[in-house]
Amino acid sequence: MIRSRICGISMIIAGAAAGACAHGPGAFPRPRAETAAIHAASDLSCEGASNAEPLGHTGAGATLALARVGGRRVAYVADEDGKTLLTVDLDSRAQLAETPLAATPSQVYVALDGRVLVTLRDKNELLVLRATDANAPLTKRCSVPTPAEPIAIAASPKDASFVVTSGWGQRLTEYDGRSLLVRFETRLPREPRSAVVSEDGKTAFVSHAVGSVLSVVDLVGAKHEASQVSLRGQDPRERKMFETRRRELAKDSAGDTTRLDDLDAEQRKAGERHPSCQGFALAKSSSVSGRIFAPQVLVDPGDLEGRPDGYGDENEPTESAAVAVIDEGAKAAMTASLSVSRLNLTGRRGNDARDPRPECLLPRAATIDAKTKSLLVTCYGFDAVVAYDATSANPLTSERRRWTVGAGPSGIAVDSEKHRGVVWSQFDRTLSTFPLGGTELVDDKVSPSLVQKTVMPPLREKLAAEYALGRILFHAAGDARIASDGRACASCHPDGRDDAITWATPEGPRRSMMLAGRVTRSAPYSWNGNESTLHSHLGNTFDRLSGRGLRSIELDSLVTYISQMPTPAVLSRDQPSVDRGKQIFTSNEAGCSGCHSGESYTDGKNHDVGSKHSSDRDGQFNTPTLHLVGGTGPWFHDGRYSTLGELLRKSDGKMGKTAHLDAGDINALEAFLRTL
Amino acid sequence: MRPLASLRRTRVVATTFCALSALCAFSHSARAGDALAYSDLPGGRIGTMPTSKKPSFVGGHEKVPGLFVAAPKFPPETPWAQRHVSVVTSETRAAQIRDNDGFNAKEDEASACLSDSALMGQGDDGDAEAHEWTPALAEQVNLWPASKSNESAGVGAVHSEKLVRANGHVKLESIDAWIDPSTHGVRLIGRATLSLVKVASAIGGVVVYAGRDERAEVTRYVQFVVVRPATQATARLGPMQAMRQDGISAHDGGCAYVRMPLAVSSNDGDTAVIVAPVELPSRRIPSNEAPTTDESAHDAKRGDAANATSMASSVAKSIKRRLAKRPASQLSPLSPVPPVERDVRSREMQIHLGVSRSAQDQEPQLSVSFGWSGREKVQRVFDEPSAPPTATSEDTD
Repeated sequence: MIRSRICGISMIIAGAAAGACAHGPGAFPRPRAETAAIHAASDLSCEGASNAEPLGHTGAGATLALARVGGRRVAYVADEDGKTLLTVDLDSRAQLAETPLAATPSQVYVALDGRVLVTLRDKNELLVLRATDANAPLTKRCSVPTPAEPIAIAASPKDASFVVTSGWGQRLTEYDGRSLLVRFETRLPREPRSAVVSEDGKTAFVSHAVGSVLSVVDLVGAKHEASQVSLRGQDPRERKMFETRRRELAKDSAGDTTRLDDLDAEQRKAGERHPSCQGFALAKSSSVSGRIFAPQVLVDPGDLEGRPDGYGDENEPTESAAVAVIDEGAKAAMTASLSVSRLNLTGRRGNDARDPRPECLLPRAATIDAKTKSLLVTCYGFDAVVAYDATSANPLTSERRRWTVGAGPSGIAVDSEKHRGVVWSQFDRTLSTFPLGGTELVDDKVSPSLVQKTVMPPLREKLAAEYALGRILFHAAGDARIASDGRACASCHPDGRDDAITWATPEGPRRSMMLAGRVTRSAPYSWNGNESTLHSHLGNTFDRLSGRGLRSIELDSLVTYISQMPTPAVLSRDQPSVDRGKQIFTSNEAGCSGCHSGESYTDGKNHDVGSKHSSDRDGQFNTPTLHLVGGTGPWFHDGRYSTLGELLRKSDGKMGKTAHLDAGDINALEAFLRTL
Repeated sequence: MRPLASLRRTRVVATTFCALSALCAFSHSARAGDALAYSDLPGGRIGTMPTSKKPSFVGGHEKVPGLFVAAPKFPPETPWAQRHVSVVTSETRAAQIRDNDGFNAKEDEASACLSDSALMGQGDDGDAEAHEWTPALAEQVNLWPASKSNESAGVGAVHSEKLVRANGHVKLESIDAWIDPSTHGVRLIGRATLSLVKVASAIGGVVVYAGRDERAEVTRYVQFVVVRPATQATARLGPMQAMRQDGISAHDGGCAYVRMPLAVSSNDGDTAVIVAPVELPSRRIPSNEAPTTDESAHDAKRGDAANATSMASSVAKSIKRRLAKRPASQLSPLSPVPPVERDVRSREMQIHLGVSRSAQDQEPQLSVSFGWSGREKVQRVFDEPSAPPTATSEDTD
């Protein structure tokens, strides 16, 4: 069944591969030769060397990659706004060339044989380029299709294979290192982002922007199974308390395990209190062997049985930075790195009301400086690189240094030859370089950090100023105008999606809503539909976050960005099933389209569908749009349904009728919903 | 006109040597950042809480060298139950207590440090950490006699430890003893010695040592000892506070170091963080920057200075007090030599200690790193120009 699904997907994506499924195992689609390439090569094979030699080979892609081309040291930069790959001289920081991509690049990777791989997130392609001269645009070798929204590239040892994550497609795809034929594709939980491959090449580790997990994918087994490692926060003191209680119960219970079972259940519930998100980056290095670093954010969404004044408990920090350390061999997180202990001395805020060290609440990229064994993490919001001691079981507590770089640092690499950090900042299109120094504690006044920022030449098509400003505001962590506790819009809406977390709110428990592609025609806003415009809804949101609020021109910009932010491409996969699902959806018998009507699949009205939670203020909820509903679970206002299938079955009679549908019809209805 | 221009010699607490000692203070002999292997550490052990039942009585004739019991003079009306005894590690100090003579020992005379209670799951024999002495140290501990109102008082266990440097080696010697506050008797529970090796050093003269604690328990420990520089150099490093990941806290309690035990476990790790304010090398004020005594103007201009540390504040207050006492003649604006104005800078340093072991690690890995946990704070002070920078041998340690 898995194989047939893979084949089905591949057939749809790669027309050239039609019929491949019939050929059984191993019959994967061949790479598609692009005829419309801007710099099409005569040889459209994916194989063949190129003139780029990777500098500081890490085995993982980023928004920039360092290489030596014809004796010049260059940085290849995936310029999302320009839809180009920039070639920048690493020493003079001058732009040498620009390779148009006609699509939005996510990551770039320079393979050991010199080929330059780029994921095109809105074209669902992995593009292979060839470098000839540092001053010339790269030429296209080939491209291969990917599931929706390819993001990260990672390589197994010696580039024997490449794995690509697909964010909206929720997949990991492995490609042969030479031919780029698909080896396998496996389904993952929501919003996979970064990937790294273990030193033995047998396992891929994948971070997720939401969902509190890290996926571990078997690259060598026949089934390529994916399992998940929990990255939820843990309270060490609470764990100790449970251990003590367990010992006491074990002594007293005299064989009766009921109380022990109750205690286990209580501990499991306690363990779910601290979800995590913002898993955008992973880093690993042979210099810190056996450990994978996953910068993330631990969340305290508040007591869902209560109704706090804002989003989450107003008396507790709602979000705190963390760096999960994954033991590669044990395939588990070191619990020390998931600590939510609020007594940590580094979290003290009492000494300086100006909060001198903002937390990295929007980590976006990471790498390891092998020389100092430092983990370098780029952070949106305060636009900095933070260096942590990578040998620590809890790197967050071992911060060494910070460097302020350009706005929106989306990628980082280490120039190992000159021992410098190189950062690409997308929001202001700057390349920052800075000496990494040693591990000694540096007096900033005596040895100030020398960050050199170089702005790239202007875009051929400039971004609208409102959009650009709105994007900065959306990611403005630590901005008191947005929230008093440092949260940014992107904290709960990473990449404009939702954090998959149910928050305690003044109305009751509420799931964050996905924004990208869903706000333009879906008024009124909020789960209760009590905000008629985005402006008023945002104003109310800032109020609940105890933010001071934005000026009107800034609010306009934020609304512009939210309305226009990149929308994931929805891929239709099984057309007969989708057609059947649409038939059911629009049927009077099922009654779905009665409320989910019109272009946006919402009637804009409030309904009571029997879903009132014990702490809900009201049982009436505004009909949510179904645009992109397939990628937004868990579902319902309180996140009670973990799958769409569960939602369709269990809401029978309260929200349409599904009891009459068999499993095939439920699957068809779900398939249709996933195309919206 | 500069109102303070006639200042002749304002002795500012030992900060003028900063410039000279800066080089040494910044020297980094450490291997911070390098992988520190567990097997590189010398072994030994630190005393743990006694598991045996406490004795009901310790004879007054029983004594243990290095532990002194002294009772202060109480007013006659003080109830018996409130008449505590103090346990110290110095005979001089004990005499001072007996004489109600206050505390005037010099800093470097704090020869050993004490703790007297377990904060880590006391009495729970299933917990590996149940018998850990609290790492929160003090220069003296008090014990109260048992009484009807406080039956748990009476004989108590006391832990004493001392950092010993000899022949280029450093070790931590500990003595555990039962002490009877009624008889002043001291009965030895045990002695232990832990050899240490220097694993890192940083700005402010702080040095980190570590040793393998080979106690007879399933859980193994690494004992980290973070030492402040001795005597005058401590002016550049304030009190240290430590916290382990599980919330166990410690402080130097006037001692010259903080000790923090971290458990070694497979596929996991333990960490602790120590914070301490550090005085940074002084910066002279450029001559073209017009000084003023208007503090509010200063604060508005320099920003950071408004949040001067208590260390720097005390310096400023000291100057003000001295100025207030000066005869007007000494504050003559015609004085030929103006005072030297400079910024006293301080910042909170963070020392990270860790031990961890992944499945691929042959042995536990140690980590020691240093960082800042706050912004720099600045206080402007005035030095007398004729005061030459001085440095002692300790300053450049």
